Amino acid sequence: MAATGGGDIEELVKQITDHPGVQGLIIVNTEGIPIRHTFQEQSRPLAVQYCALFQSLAMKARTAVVELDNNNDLLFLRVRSKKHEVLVAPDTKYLLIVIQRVGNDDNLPVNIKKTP
Amino acid sequence: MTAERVESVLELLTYTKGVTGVVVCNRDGQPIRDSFQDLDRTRAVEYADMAAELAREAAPLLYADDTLDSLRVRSRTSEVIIKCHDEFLLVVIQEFSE
Repeated sequence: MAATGGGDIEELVKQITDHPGVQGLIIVNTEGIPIRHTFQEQSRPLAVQYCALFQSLAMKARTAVVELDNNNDLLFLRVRSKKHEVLVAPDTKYLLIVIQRVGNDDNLPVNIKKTP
Repeated sequence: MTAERVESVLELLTYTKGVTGVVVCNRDGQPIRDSFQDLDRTRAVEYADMAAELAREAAPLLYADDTLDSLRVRSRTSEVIIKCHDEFLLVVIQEFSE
């Protein structure tokens, strides 16, 4: 995410938010401040909360990965619950958080056979 | 799920292409069974501890009416998939080829 102006970032934001099922997107800087988010303005406290919580989780995951192997590093993190899935992409200067809805099996493009 | 069913699922996971390890542990990070070959279970203990810690850290991030289903931690060389249950965690480690 170089300093090439807002155009590239806006293109990226639009590309992600236009994806079906995406409910929110947050870009966080190293101080934990959300510099860009797609929440409604009255939901800004929620965006700030997501920033703090998932930044902490990403740091914990990175620590765990490096503990297992010194030459390794965290690339991506997915937290899936019954209703939502949060995707966290850490970088040196920024953290990208995407929140998307967990679809039912009926919504999947491929039929998954249920194990008996 | 019967014990035989559990065994067959674990065996299926263990021998899936790309999977380098499978660990079943409780929520406290104590490995119950694993597919590694080392006798002192060092790797199983490490992965179980990592899984328990991350599951504990991730649980409060959800809404009150939501429950943690799974975690995927992708690093440069591997991806660790942690499937969460009330009492147990299933950890699957996948390695990537260059």
